[in-house]
Amino acid sequence: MLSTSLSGRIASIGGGAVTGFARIVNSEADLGRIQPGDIMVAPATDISFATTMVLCAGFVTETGGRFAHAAIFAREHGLPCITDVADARKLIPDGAQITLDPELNLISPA
Amino acid sequence: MAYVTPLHHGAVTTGLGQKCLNLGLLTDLGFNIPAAFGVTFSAFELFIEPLLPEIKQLVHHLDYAKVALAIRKLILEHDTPADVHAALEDALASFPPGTYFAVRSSGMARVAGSFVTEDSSKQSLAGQYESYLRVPQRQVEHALKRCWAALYNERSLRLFKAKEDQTFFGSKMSVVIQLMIEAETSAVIMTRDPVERTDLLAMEVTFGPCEALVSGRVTGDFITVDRQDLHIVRRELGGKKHRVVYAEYSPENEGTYHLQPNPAEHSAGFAADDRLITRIANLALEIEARFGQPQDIELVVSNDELFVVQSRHITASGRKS
Repeated sequence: MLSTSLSGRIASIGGGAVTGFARIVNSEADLGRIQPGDIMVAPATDISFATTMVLCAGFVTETGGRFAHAAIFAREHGLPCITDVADARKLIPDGAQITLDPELNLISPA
Repeated sequence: MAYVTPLHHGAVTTGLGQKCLNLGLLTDLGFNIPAAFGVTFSAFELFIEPLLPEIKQLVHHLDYAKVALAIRKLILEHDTPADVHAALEDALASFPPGTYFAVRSSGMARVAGSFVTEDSSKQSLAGQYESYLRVPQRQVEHALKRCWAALYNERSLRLFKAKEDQTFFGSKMSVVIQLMIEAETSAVIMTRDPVERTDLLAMEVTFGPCEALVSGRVTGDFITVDRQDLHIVRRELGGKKHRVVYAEYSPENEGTYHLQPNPAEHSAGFAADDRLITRIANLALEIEARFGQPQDIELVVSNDELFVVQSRHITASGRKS
């Protein structure tokens, strides 16, 4: 369970807050772990993640801002994204149910 | 029939992809664009025509991953046509020895009988084809062929369903070959912030090439500027923990970069002072005015001079409704 609330940079509002299972993606090799509706937690994303990203409810990345791939992808697909969440993959337990609120800039336990 | 052409918009109106045309237009509008030329669709078509029967066979028989590699091998092993080679050498000779180049794909895929351009489609598909940076003069031709081969990379073959859609083989590739500026600082700008307030211009700034920002591997300083009077509204310090450093391109290294850690003081201060921020914002709004719509711009700073790398229309807003 996520024990604290996290913030970063608002990169895409999408349709507003979403709740889903956090899925840690360290690299392309982890993409197969994503289930529809998951919230992807990655260091950053790139074009090779795209076919999996369309399944997600939202994105959290550890670095980057609103010009990063994840941010641009999120905006194009109407999904929320918060970037620049330091150590997101350490702090957000894999499989934890979380709420990603891009308007409040908050990632919190669901 | 030109195989290689300067990118002044007036000189050429067909035969080049959107990336080339945008650079030509920016040059013609008087913006500071590093010297560049384009290798046309005609050059590509001359090269690829004798290879197409084999390419089609490969696509028919192999899985997408294998076929992409096989096509790339085929292309790299096949000589550039003599006329294209000569035109390329001519164009390169006009640059000082020791120049490094950026060699970038500017393609048009053909899908269900119609052309789809890389740069007018979703921006998140940028990177669909390849770019090679820090290419020494003697390797430009190799990088050119890699860009040609990029038309048939695995991602594209899959996306455009090359196995099912025969019209895909009418796809074509042009290539921008441009003087590469060593970026001390770089910025990515959206002349209307797509996330929070569209009455603001938003930019992110970091040390070294802007790939750091675009890839999202580095968090740059985030700055918003008032579009009316150019005053700086908000500054948010970014980590800027790394900079992108390109390896010198060679056939062996695939043109890679690594993330080099920045000294700690780079995180502590802003990459651009207010004067530079204002200069960048000014330039960005000027480009927007000339294009008549909001722009997504990449630029680099070297020796206190601003160079525009790319500018395109903004594709997506931040809010759903």
